[in-house]
Amino acid sequence: SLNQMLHTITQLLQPPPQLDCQKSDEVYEVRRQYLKLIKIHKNLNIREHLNIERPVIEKTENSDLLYKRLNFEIRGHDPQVLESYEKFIRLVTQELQLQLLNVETPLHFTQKITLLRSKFAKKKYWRQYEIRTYNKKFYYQHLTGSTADTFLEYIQRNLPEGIMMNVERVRLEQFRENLVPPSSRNSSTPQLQNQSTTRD
Amino acid sequence: MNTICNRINILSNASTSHCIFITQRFFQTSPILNSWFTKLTNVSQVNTEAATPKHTRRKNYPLTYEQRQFPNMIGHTKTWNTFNTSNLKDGKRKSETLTDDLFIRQFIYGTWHNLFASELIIKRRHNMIILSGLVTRTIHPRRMYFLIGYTEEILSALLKCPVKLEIQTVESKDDVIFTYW
Repeated sequence: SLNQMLHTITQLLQPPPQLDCQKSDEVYEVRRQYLKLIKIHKNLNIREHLNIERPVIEKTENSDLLYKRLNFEIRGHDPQVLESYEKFIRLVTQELQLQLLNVETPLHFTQKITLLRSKFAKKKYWRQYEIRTYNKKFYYQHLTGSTADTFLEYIQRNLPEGIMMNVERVRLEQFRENLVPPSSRNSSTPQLQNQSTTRD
Repeated sequence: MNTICNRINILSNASTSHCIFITQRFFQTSPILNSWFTKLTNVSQVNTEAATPKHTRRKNYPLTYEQRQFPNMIGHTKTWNTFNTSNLKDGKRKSETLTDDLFIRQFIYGTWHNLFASELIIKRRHNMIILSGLVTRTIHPRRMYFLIGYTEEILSALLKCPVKLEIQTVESKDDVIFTYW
């Protein structure tokens, strides 16, 4: 019965289906449920009980890099230009069949300056000026290195004037064999007790 | 205020007894500041605003569409004349781009003698600088091709980046006038 429960939990933790990026509320809900299940899965330590071995992925030479996430943020002075660029990026993702998770439009950032209204004297009258930067954020997942490079190059060649882009990448690395998962709560840890605690 | 050039047209009728004098004002697109002291003390110059002219008595001061949109409309119905990322949050090279823009405007005002009918528009994409504007067709196109090549070569050598001119031509400056103020 316990084994059956654990097996069902492992089946539930298959990767979720490809979601429509335009329905951002549904995506958020499904992701929340998925993360809850992952937490439960961690606490149960299923791999120990069912004696499942860790999967070994053989990394060949000259193999492509793998990116878990690719985020970029766009800033500009004109919001309509950013919206048209968003349309262009959505078309490119459809053509290249990339997984766009979400598009965010955070609130614009303002820099305010107060200056005198007149050229000479008249300290009582001032004027306020502000400089606005509008933002957009794009979130992608599960790309290879070559696709990410080509996609970013194509997009950056078509960057309109007066718009800047900041790119963040999260890369997947091979798991190190010398690292061992910690033992369960019931078993003792004599090694830690023998160690002396020293404060730096 | 911009400096005003007055030109006098002399029209003579069939009967040569009288002559009609008409004053016509031409606008200048790139103002050169002079007489800073009068702007502080002279009554007609003290209560003035930047780029917002006062109504004239004869209503003969010509304005282009861009000049009619006063600076309070920037961001609503008016955009800027330069497009760069230096003034955005975490934007780099703020002062260098500004000085380069001023230099480019003065350079082109000096080489293209009274030919531009609009303000210069400077766009920066990656490494490149792209200049655009409206030019009148007073000179021969062969001379215009030379001017285009000359400006591109010299500016790219001075600014150390590729410079491109993308200009459109207009018959005369009267075609660009929108209203009289």
